[in-house]
Amino acid sequence: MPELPKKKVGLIACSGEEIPEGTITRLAVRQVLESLRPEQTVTICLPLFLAGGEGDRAFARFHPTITVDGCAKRCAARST
Amino acid sequence: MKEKVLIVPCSGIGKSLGSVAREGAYVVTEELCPGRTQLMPLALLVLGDKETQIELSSAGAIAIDGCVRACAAKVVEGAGGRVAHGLQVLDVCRRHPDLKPSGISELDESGHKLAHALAEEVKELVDNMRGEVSHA
Repeated sequence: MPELPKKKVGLIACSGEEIPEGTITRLAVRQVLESLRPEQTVTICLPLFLAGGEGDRAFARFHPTITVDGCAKRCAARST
Repeated sequence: MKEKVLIVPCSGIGKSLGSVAREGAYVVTEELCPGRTQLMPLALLVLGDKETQIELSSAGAIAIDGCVRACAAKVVEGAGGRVAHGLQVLDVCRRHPDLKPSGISELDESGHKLAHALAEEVKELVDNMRGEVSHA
C-alpha cells in the first residue's frame, strides 16, 4: 500500500510587537520551524488570515494548527 | 500636546524583510522618536480589539510592510484607521542595493543596517506629520 504524505502541523505565533512575550512566541515558533521540527511544520503570518486571500484564510482548515499567544487576549487562537 | 504617530509594522514571520520591518519599527519608537510615536501591534487589530481601534482612530498611522501583500496597511484601513504613509521594506531595499539582508529570527549585519535605514525614513515622515522639520 502506498504511503501517503503526512500532513504538516501549522504553527501560528501572535508575534505581538508591543510586548516581549510576543517576540518570544515568534522566536519559539521560528526555532521549531528551523531546528526542532523543520520537516513537519509550516507557518503563516497571523494578519494574512484577514488581509490575505481565501487560501490564506483556509490555512487552519488544512493543517492541524498550534497557536502560540503572548498574552491573555489570545489573538492567535481567537483569530484562527 | 501633539498626538503620537502610530507605527504599525507587519508581523511577518517567514521572510527577512518582515523582520526588518519589525526591527525598524523598534528603532523608531525606542531610539529615534520615543515620546512622539507609539507602536501598534497588528495582532490586536486583526482581532478587532476595541481599545486598540479607538487609539487607531485618534491618530495617523505609518504602516511598514515586509512584502507586497501589505497586511499592515490593509489591516489598519480595515480597522477604520488612516494610513498616512505606507512603506514597503522592498522599496527601501531598492534604495540600498548594497544591503542584502538574511536571517529571520536573527537578522544579519545587512538586515540591521537596512532596519536603521528604514527607521531614518520613518523618522522623516514622523517629523513631517508633526510639522517638525529636521535641519540636522
